[in-house]
Amino acid sequence: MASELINVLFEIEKLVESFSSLDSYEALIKNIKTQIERVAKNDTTGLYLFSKEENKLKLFYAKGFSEQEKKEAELTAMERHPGYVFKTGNILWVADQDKEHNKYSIDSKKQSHTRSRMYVPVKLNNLIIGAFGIQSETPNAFTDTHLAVLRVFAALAGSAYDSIQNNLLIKNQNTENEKLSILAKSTTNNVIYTCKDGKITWVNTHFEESTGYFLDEIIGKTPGSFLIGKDTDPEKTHELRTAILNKKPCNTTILNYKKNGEAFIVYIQLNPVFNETGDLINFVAIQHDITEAQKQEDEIIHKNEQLKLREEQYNNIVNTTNDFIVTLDARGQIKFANNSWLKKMNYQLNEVIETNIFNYIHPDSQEHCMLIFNAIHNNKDESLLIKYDLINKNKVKIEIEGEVIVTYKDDGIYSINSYLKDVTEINKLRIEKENKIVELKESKERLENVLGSLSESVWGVSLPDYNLEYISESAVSIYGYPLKDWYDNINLWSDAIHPDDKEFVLKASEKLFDVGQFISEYRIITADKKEKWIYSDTKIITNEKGIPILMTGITKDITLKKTAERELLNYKNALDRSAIVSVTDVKGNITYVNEKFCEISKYSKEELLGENHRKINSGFHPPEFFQDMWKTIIGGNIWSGEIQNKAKDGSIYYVQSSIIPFMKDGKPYQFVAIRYESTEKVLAKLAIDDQKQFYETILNNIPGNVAVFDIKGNYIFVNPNTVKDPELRAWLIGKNNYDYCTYRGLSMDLAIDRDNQFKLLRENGKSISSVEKRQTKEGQTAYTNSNLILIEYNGEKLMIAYAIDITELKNAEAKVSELKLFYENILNNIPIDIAVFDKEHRYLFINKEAIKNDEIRTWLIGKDDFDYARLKGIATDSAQLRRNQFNYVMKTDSRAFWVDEQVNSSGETKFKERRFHSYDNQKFIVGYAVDVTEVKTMALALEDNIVEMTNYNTLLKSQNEDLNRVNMELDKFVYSTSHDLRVPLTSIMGLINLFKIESDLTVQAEYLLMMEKSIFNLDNTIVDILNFSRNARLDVVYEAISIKNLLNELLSASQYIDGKDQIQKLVSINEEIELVTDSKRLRMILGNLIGNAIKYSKDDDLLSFIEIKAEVSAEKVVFTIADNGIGIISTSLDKIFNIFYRATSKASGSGLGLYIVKEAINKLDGTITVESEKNIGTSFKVEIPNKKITNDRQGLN
Amino acid sequence: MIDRDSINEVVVIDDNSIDLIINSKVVQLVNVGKTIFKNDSAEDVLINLNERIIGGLKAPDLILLDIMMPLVTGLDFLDQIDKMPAEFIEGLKIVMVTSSLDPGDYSLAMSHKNVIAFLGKPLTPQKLESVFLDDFG
Repeated sequence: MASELINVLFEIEKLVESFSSLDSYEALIKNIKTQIERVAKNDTTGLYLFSKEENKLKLFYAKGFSEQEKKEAELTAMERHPGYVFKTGNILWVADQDKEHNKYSIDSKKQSHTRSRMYVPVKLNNLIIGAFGIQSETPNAFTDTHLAVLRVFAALAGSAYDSIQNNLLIKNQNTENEKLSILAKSTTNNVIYTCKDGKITWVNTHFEESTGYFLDEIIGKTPGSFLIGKDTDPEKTHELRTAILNKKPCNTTILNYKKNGEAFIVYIQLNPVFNETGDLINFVAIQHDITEAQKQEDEIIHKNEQLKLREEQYNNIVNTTNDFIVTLDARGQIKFANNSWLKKMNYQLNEVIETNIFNYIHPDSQEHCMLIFNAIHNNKDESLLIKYDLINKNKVKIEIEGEVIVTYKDDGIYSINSYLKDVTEINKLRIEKENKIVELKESKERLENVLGSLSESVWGVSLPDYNLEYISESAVSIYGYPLKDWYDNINLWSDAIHPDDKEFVLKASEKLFDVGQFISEYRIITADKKEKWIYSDTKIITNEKGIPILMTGITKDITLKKTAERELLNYKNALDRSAIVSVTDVKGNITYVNEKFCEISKYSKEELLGENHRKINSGFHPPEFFQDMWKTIIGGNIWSGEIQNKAKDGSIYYVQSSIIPFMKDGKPYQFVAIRYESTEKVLAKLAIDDQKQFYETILNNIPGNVAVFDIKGNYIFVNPNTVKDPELRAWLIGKNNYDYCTYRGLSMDLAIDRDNQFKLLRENGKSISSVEKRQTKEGQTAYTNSNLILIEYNGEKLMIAYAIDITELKNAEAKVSELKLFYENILNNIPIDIAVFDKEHRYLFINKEAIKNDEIRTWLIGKDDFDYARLKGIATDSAQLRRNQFNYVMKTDSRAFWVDEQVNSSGETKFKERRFHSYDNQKFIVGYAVDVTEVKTMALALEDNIVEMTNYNTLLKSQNEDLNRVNMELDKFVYSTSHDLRVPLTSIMGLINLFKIESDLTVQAEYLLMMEKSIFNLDNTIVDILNFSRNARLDVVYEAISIKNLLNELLSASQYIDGKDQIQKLVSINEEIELVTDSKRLRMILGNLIGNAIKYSKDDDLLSFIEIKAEVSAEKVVFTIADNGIGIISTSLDKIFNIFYRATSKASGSGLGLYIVKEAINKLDGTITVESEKNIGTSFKVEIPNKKITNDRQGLN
Repeated sequence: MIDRDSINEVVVIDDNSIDLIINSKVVQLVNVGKTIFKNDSAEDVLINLNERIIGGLKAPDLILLDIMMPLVTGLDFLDQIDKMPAEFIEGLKIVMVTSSLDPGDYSLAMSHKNVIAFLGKPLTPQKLESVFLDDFG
């Protein structure tokens, strides 16, 4: 059964894959039936569909039911499994006899049976329309795979049902109109699908019925290979082949033969079908059996030919007869006359044409004929017999007898034909001709009817006015709009297009005139707002000049095909997503894999096909595992199990596999494996295993003893540290302590002791902890901390005993005690008061130095200084002071120290320096007190000296600063002066170098002059430095000075300044009062200022002058030295008194001059100011106190 | 190595008129440059250089520069040169010629990228020649 199921699965896969070429619901349902029968070889299946009319589930299809059973099943379907599934939409999967089974089964006889059932709902457009079920007499017969297959069946069944319902509807409509029905029957089309090269992939049932060929026997053949016969026009065959080769549409008529040899004529519309990307998919050929129509047409042709024959006969008769035939117009003018008449009358035809007949009527007959002629005009008689006489050219009277036949047009006479007596034959011929015309008309109408009754809607629109000329009735059934609407609204077809498809259809239609034909499938919205798929083929018909005259088209409802297509695609997707499928031959070589297989194994199809299945073996399973598997499947049995596989990239995956052998003659010839991925499930399981192992590993490796007991005291687990012997450990599980003691031959005391503890634990649930001291074999003391606790795990109460050796801990504790003693000893012997306080300032420890009395010291622990003060009966001032300090330390987390004074018992004043230190985050505070009496005494003595020292230090510091400044100045001074001294020296050296290599005597002389100048500069600089030194070192000596003499001396010296002898010197002195000051410094001051005024005069200016004024008063002397020289730019003015500052490059000064002036004036307590303007001149004003008065006083004294 | 042939225009700056003559003479003797300008004021040269920038003219190729000068010292001059457009001073080479014994002057001057040498006074043809010699020559 299962192997068949797998086959079915493949059939369905194939079916799904080939669905694009499938178009018949009959074929579909037939296929499903076949598949169901294959699935349910030994089982029963039933397809229940709900009938609205009868309001019950009807057994649409059943297998394995007797007629009686079928009736019963249908009767109770609603109350049983099918009804449950139909009502709820749930899938029902009864693996074995169970409650569900009993609930829904009313068949008491079968209740005792053990069977498997599986029902799935049958859906159509998400509506449940029935249920589809399968049942087996074997328990646990069905798997996930069955379920998948059933669901596919159910879906197909839904589609098929829909298709059948629709077909019934069409048939019913047909019976309503018998005429239509007959025509439809005779003209239903054959539809042939072929692949790209013209080979048949599918034909419709009508084709099968009408030709006698069934799809099975012709699939893969070209239609031409069996349909054509001896009378088929080879040109037509060629035309079709060419069209297929060129992928072009082709419409033609061809003679075909049925299987029974009967010939039939078809009008073939062959159309290639392209997909969106323009690739050819297949061809669709629609054959209209036009044998009947052809017959009609043949008949028309035949009749036309007969008619022609008659006309020829007629003409023959007319021209060969001896009878007279004359044709006249309404006025009696001769239009025609036959040979006989002309011969008798002895006239040529051209003589009589357009002459009046009365010219030839014998006078005796004139009156008679006139009467007849009038009668014809008046009575509109079509035919009348006449008898009259003619007269020929030779005036011979000719008597004639005959008939006049008049044809009328509009209201008047068209022609008048006169015949001879023998008119019977002619008349007969005429009537016959007229009859044939009527028949021809009828045949044409019938052909039109044939076309109109095609299942497609055929329509035609005349161009260029876009007038709908014709549309067949089928349009009504497709679109739901009455025919009238189509004629009224030419845009109805585009209005009806589904909005989503409108754009592409209209766009494609625009190109219709360019390409001539437009074939497409698109959706429409019908009059009752339903969505339908249609196939549309529109063509442009042109006249012989290539101008479009007609647009015709065929429209066909393909909704069912599309719906089924979609449903099947959904299921193919579902199948592809769920199952991993592979097929191997008996050796295990892979012959087929599906996409899912490739996806999970990460190999491509090409890499797998032909390879052995071992390729994905992970090596995880032992060889026996696969041996067992092979044994099972070779024996024809299905093997199921979980397999670990390895993908191409080495990753591991788990699959829940079923391998099904396919048997032929009792031997397997191939194996099909269906798998579902189970990696996650297995990994989850592994994770649990890992965790268990993880915890056990921990328990096994902890150094303590661990044992777990159930509530009765039986061992559940004991770790190796507790019981080393693994055998004993295994034995112990399930046993209790009494067993253990008996086994080990130990005293029962231990067991009783433990039992008592268990009892205690069970009673109050409180953990028991104890420390046991024992002697080891080596004679050392060992400690064990034993614990017994009660836990609840998964609703079960467990007791866990664990014991840890705490000997080391105990030893450490003992060591700590020793240390404590050691440190206390030390602390008690240090000559410093030490106390430790808790946070509340209570004593934790006091050493002997602090409190000598042992009793009081012990008493004080846990008390504070206030307690101590009360005990001693002393004031609490000291206690309060300490408390304040303590609080400060606690608050700021800092340290405190202070010195306090105490008078001891012997009356001596003792100073103690006290400290509070916070330790370990203020856990405790340590207080120290050191006797500083001696230090304090010394310190007091020193205190006085310190003040002196400080003053001295300040002095030193200031002196040091001065020194530093002087040093820096000196440094700078040395650099600058050495530079100033080097400048002229290097110049001289440079000049000497040049002098050596210079041969020109005049140039050499120039060099010598320059050397002289440099030496002069050098001398000046040295003088400046000397002055500087003098000013700094020499004491001020006041004496009476003659300004006049001094200026004379200075001015005469300046006369030697090179090139400056032209300068005017204007001097005005008022020294009525004697000036007393330092003469050397005054010489320095004035010498520099006058020298500058001369040096920085404008070169070669005849108007250069210097003006010197001196005004002596009792208090001071004021000098003004002004010039009209080069001046000083304002930015430099405030710097000119700085040492080494040079304001101009015009002179080769050292930059010391004005500095010395300023320093000298400072020494004399004077001031100097300057005013200057670039290129205008400079004016210095110097004020120096007159020391005359002071000097006089000194003299007086 | 400095390509002596690339030097056309030389400016000698020294506030000491004698040194100015000596230095210019040495430049002549060494045969560097086709035109030699003498100037006793660094300030005047700065003004001249700025005029050249405005006029779109090029800078002199070589400047011999004293350090100890009133108003604008050689170091002030170098600071001003650094503020000029990079393309203008690109090819300008400066040789310091000084009698300064201050070691600070040497490092300050050499830190300017246009300065290629620091020579002590008195300048001699040999000293100036050394500037234009290859390191290996």
